[in-house]
Amino acid sequence: MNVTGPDAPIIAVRGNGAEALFAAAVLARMAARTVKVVHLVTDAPADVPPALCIPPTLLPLLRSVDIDTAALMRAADGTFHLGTTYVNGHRRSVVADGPLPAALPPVRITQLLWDLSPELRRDFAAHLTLNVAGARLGTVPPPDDNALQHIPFGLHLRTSGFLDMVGGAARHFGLLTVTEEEARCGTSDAQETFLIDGQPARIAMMIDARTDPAATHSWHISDVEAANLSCASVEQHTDYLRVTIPLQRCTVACDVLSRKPHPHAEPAAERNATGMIRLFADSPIDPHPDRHWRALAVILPFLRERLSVTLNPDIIVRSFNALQADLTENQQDVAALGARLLGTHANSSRLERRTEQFLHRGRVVRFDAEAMSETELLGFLMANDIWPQHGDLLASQIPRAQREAHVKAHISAIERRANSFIRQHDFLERAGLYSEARDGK
Amino acid sequence: MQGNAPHRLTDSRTGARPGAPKSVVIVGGGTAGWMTAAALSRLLAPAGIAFTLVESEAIGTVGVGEATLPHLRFFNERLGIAESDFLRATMATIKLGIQFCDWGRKGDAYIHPFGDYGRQTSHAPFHHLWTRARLAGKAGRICDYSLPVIMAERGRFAPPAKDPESIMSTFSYAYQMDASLYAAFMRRLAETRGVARIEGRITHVAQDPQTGDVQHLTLDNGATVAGDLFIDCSGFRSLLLGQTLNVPYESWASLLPCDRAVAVPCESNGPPLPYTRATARSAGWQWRIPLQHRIGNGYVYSSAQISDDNAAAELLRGLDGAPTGEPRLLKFEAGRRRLQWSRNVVAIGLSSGFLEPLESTSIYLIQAAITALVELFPTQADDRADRDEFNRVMMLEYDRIRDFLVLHYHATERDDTPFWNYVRTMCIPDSLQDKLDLFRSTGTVTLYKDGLFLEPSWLAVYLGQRVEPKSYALAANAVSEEKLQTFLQQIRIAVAGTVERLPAHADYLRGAARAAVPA
Repeated sequence: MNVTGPDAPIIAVRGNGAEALFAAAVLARMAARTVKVVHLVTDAPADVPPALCIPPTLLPLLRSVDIDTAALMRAADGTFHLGTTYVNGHRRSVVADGPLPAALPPVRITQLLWDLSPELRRDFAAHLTLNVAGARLGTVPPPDDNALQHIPFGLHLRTSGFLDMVGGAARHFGLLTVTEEEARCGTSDAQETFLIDGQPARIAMMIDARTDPAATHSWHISDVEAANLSCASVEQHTDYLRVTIPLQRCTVACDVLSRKPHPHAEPAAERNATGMIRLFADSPIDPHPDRHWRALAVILPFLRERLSVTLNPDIIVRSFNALQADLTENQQDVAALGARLLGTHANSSRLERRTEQFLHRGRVVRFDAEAMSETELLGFLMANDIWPQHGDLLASQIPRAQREAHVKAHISAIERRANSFIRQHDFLERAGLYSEARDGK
Repeated sequence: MQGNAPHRLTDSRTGARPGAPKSVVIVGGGTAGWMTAAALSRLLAPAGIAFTLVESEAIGTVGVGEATLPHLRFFNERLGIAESDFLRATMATIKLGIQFCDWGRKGDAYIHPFGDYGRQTSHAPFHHLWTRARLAGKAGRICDYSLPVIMAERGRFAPPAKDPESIMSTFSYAYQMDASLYAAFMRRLAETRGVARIEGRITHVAQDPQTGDVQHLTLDNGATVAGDLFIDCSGFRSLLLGQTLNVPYESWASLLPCDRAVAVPCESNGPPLPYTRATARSAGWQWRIPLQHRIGNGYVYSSAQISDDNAAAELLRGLDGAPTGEPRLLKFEAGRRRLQWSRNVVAIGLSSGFLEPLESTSIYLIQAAITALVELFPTQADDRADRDEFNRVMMLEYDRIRDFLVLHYHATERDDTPFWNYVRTMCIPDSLQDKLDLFRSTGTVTLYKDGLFLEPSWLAVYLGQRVEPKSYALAANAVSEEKLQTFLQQIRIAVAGTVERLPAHADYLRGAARAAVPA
């Protein structure tokens, strides 16, 4: 419980979105009697999308605030998020996580591909992992199959249900919610002060978890057979992107009319100072529906270890700036790859090195603080038609027939396994995961 | 290859593109040269590359790194070497860590172990829980929560378990070995696998006038040795990368001011200890590396602070047994080449840079370079991307090791000699200062994906040298005081009880290596 004495330092998490509430809940959970965590919201109508898409890496954090995955799915019309489909005209590419297939040691499977036929390579990309296959077919392993334990899955959730559950957990952990307009009472030493528990209090550390306020959205909810979709999709239209998130009985589509530059997208070192950090540095080209949640999955564990009993905001900010510099750079690479899938030419500082290494020898270069897995990066590269063009020294010694047979065997194994998957609807039925409100949209 | 004109081969059999190296020349036959030759001839065997090693018996080798890191075990395994063969051939002993004496303060001692502290929990990393108890005066030494530290202190050893649930899976181990015997062992291996050895001193290095690539070497007997790719293992001389290609050397002497070492072996004075010892001295530090048949010793020092003669005298006074040879002097400068791979020359070992042997990183850096080279071995004429990536990976290794070494010197309270006063007050890189500030303030160890030293290593040196956190993660408060005490006590008991049941290190060696170690 976040029950603290009157002199306890205060950490405020600012933002009306689901991301801010979740960050505040996680921090309140661990603050345990030492630091007071406050959630600062505004009276302004929340620009909260009706559905959200969280990546597999966030699930441990959900468990850290005692939220059970099955209960959350029931409460929030949840479906499995195995990956994301990028649609550009007739071209559809699935990018998903999952353990990379076995290779011919010490050669990796991606090093076997360079001179295989385009058809076989495309087939390989479509069967890269079980996640990819499931996301493509809209299926999941049966509930009595333990395969799901080996498939990193995220969730598609109705935001209202998510907010209810996280809000409940947050209250249980003593999170205090304060409205900025009512509680603001001036500044002291250039820091804002707020009325907290009726007393003017200085915020020791402000965590700004507001998301991109400049983007313009419109929302549509449609009655398609959503329960049989196990991936989100991003579709390029003439002047907007449509992000579609399938829930149990409907899909929620968000049309992103413009992705304007984030007003706070200046370098991290200038942005985060004097006890304040801004969590999200949106890239104007980033089309990924789960980008903020992916960032949170890296940032919250990072903060969890650095928020110490004797709070030292300046040290945390310095440390956070280093993380955010890496994270932002990596996200820009992935944003650029995602944007390219949708027909927008985009580049970033490290992308050339990643691309070169993949082209030269099928090697996926990884850096510190990556929000995307190696498999997902690989998926983006292949979906962009970036393929190894040369054989690695050792790989080139393996006869083409043997390499081809190995890749085909992998495709067959994934196909065979994926054929035993069931429609997501059947999974939800059999596991009792459907929400009770049958008509809720 | 002797006497051949410079050439580049293509391979119609494998389909490798023109420009992919088919002949590799290794310059220098010390530890780095023969490790490289043995590894490449094994790992790149299917590629049909011709390997040649050029060395001169007239030029001595430095024989770096008698003490190693656990990575060497995996390197040996990859080369198909049985541990028992290796132990016998190199007169090796087991190493569970390094004991640092008199570093934080005179009289202090701690062991930097190859293994974890405590047990992971869902609440917070172990050291935050331990720090909470320490600040309440109820924690005891962090060493008491480390299996390898207690094993080392009591001279016990058995190999780690594979079961992740077992406490015996919480550590790793390395070796203390005779580096010159290891080089000879690697040479036998390499020559068995077809590496051609050419004896001769290199008198001229010919470069392509257009590209600047090294084309061939001329030896003192007039013979020429041509190749597609040259690996510079010529030691401090850096004959190809430094002297021929003029890749500048970046000196870190202001951060790591020791520039000399004097080394001498001595007789064993009992069963070998399963750890290396590094004892701080007036102008540097002294190593003690117990092998099966002798103890290796050396004094690494700053020549600005002590003369060579006085350093040798201080070394000889600090030996545990009678010296078995004359002290040997080495000169060096800490730092690294700005590039490790330039044109068609890759530097491996001392030719690429030097970091003093405080944390036994010399052989590790050789291994890291070999591993990176195998992964990035050029497959075409345009190898720019491979070179860039190799340089990025190796620079990161050097830079991160440098910070860790500097920490040992800087995190001291000693001001009893000009040397210690200098290192205590010197300016350190921001990358290290930020890590220190974060640890002091929050108890958090900065982690990274690539780099040699992980959380337990940083913890060992921080805490062993009195860099004590003022605080700990809030999440560590999630456990009640009573539960925390029970948890800590259980670990201490488990560690002590496990070690009690293990065999003596010397007994293990007699069994595993049939070694004749002193009783």
